[in-house]
Amino acid sequence: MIANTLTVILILAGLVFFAAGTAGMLRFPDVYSRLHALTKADNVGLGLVVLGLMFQASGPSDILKLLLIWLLVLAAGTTAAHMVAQRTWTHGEFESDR
Amino acid sequence: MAAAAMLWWILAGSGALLEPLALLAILLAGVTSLLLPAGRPLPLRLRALPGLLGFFLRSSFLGGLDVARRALDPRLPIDPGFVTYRADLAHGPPLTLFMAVISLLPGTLSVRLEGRLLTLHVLDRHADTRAALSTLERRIRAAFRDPRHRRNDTNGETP
Repeated sequence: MIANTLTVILILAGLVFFAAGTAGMLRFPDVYSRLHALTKADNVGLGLVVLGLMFQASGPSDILKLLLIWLLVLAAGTTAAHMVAQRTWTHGEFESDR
Repeated sequence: MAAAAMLWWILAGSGALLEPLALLAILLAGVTSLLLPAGRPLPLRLRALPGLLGFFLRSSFLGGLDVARRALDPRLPIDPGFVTYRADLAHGPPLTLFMAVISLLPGTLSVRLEGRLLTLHVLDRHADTRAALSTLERRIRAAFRDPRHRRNDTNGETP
């Protein structure tokens, strides 16, 4: 019961961060600022969702699997953000700003 | 070998650990990792790792909180700009980790690295970015043994 409550609270909090990240991507004025919103907010959002799911895990291997997922997404996210930023730096913005 | 067995256990569960295919895969992975020319082992200082991990978890959480607050604020309080920073870390894992973690700290995003000169994008030009960066740099330097002490005279790898 407590585990289920914690799961619901943590996942809802995580979803707030995902929504904020999406809001940032829509509202921020340029490519770089949008990358900030995506990498950082989604990282925390996924972290909270993963933490919430850990309370539903059936054993230590499930917990480690969730942790592994979070770490891999973290590494992929920060690397992809850096690559997009670098490409934008050398080749200019992809689209004109509204 | 132990790492491969652990990975299999994580991915497939303990019941599948004794299947013939699992044993074969673990064995092959172990042998491969021994045969491949491994790079130098990571010169990590284990004692400094918990501190770095704690610092990372705390500040990446703050980073998410900060950018979420800015994105949801109706006034959109951002003042983006670029900042350069000269990192004094060795090339290779320390500098790579530094650039990766920067993108998860509050308000900073690593854009470009020329030699040791970093170009960063910051969400708020008035925030004290430099202090946060040197804190991170100090923690990463504490977590790695600096290979430059041995390689300094033959160092020709600056791009």
